[in-house]
Amino acid sequence: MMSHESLDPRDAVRTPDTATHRAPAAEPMADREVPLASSENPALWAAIDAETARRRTMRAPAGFAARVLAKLAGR
Amino acid sequence: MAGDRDAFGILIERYSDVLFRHAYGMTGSADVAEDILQVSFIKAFHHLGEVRGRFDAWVFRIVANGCKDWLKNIRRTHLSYEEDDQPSGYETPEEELDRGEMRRDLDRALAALPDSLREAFVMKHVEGRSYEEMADLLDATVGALKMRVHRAREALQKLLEDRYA
Repeated sequence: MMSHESLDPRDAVRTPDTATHRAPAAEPMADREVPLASSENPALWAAIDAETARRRTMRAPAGFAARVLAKLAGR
Repeated sequence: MAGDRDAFGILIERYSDVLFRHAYGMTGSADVAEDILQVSFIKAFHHLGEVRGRFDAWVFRIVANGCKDWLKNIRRTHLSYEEDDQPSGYETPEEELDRGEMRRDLDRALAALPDSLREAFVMKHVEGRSYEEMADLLDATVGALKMRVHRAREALQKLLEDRYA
């Protein structure tokens, strides 16, 4: 099985090969809590956990969809 | 065609947040993340007829490839870090200050990781995906991805432990 990083760099500027595309697992993209607590350095991982939790709430900028649709409409 | 665009707008609304988190996690820049998403959705619109599986997995790969392309280009020139303009969500200015420091430190530490380790860490711990979902999206084995996340955590700990001991 070919790993993603071994793909041709030109893949970055083309769409995926749909001929070999496999359907993803049934589990949807969703926000899920994933604690990072570690016994090696609890203070560090508590700080990282707090920051990753913040990032899990990030949203695309306001008006993003409208801007894409305007581009598609040639405006 | 206008109807197609309206329907496509629903797909953008549905998937842009999780894709934005991925692009932000990979690039460390809200502006760059938005640019990559915009180009990716426009590309996706023009190739909608090629979708055979799930749209979200297909567009994820376009965005992920866009992030890797950007990383290759930026490393040839320079790396810059910028503040994002997302609401902080912290209750007091003191907490904001402390967390803002971690935000910058984590961005820098993530930027120091190889792309494959950063991608695995961001997908697991920022996007909250299961290993099985990651394996499907990245065409890699669950075991390989667990190893990447483990190595990413080890590397982050080495990079950050002096500041957060």
